[in-house]
Amino acid sequence: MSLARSLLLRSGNAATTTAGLISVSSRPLLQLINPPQPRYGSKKKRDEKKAAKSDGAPSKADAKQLAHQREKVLLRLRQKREETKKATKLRVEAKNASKSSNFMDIETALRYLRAAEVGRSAHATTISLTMRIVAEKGAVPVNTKCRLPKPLDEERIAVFTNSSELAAEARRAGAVLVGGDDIIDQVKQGIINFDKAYATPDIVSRLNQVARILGPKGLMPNAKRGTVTHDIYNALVQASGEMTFKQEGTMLSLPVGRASFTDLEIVSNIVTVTDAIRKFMTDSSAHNKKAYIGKTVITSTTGPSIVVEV
Amino acid sequence: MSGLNRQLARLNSIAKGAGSVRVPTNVTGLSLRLSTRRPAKGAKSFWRENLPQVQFHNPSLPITVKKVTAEQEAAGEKISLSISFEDGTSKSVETTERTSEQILEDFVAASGASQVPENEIPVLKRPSFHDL
Repeated sequence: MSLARSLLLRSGNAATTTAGLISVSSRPLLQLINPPQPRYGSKKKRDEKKAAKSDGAPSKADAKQLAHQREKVLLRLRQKREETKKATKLRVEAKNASKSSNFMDIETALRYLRAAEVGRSAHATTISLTMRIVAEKGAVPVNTKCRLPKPLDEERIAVFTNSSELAAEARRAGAVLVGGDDIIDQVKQGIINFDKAYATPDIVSRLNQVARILGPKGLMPNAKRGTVTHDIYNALVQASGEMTFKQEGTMLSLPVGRASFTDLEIVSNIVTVTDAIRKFMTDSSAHNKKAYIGKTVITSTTGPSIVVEV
Repeated sequence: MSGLNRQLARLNSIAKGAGSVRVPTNVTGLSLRLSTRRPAKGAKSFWRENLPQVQFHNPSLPITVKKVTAEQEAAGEKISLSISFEDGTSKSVETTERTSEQILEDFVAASGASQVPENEIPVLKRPSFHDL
């Protein structure tokens, strides 16, 4: 009853004109009443929308969004075009590397580099290889390690151990300094004449005395790093001359020798390194993203750069 | 000068120049000693300009350059370019207050070195437009 009354009141004159009486029957009146509209947002906004609709023109906000989207698409296209251009450039560069005027075989290149480094100490003349990695977008960047047949620096390795058997093994693997408490005493006095230190688990508790001396120098043996182990022979053999290299952008640069090395030593180092890189590329070619070694340049510390084939 | 031209000029300067001489087989080594106390302009430029060419044309000749300190000089070390021979003898070339050309001239005379023929010296060239 109360609903009917309110409807009648809203309908205004229609109800009152029926002979001054409030009719209980609401049937003819209901057709005149508008159904209630859902109310979303403020009235002002709704009015604005209505006005815009009636005009037929898009609002300012829509135009801005469209422009932004168009800009985004154009940018993406431009970036894609530039990437394709760069990749093509690298491929052409790799293809034409052997036609370059300063292209030589490695032996001749080394002759030039040794002449350029004349009179410099052997340690100051690093011969390095810089190669361009031509890869499809999404290929895994080269990050691997390998052992050079002729390492650049001979490391002095110290092994802390109490066992005489392990000491003999360590000497066989190339450790220069092998001993127990005698080396610890030396270190305590400040005499450190080694570049790497290994230890067997039986002596680790005694090494704590010199942890404050060896720790900051990065020489403290540690099980986590694999420098505290029973299998000292394999640990030494695996770590000697191991070199890690990582691709920076599209370039990969790594040292392969000194000017004092023979041609054969440098060539065998180069072969080992390039084999490791190629193996990494084939192993990591996920989703068919291929990569290969492009233009390669050999150079020395102060020498010119020469294009070579590897 | 573009990057490639600069590289080629550097490579050619190693192979070609006044120092492109071939020493006889009885020369077993060269040792240049420079003074750090007194000026050694001539000796230094001989090292930078001529020695690379000597090394290039004599790849197996050991060449050493040593900087002699004042103390070592006082102890009797000589400032010179010494040439050692197979029979154990050695000749020394004076380098103090001399230009690189004079040092080279004396070195060639003392060692009995001969100039490398022009056609044996490799010269790298950028291909010209007409070669392509």
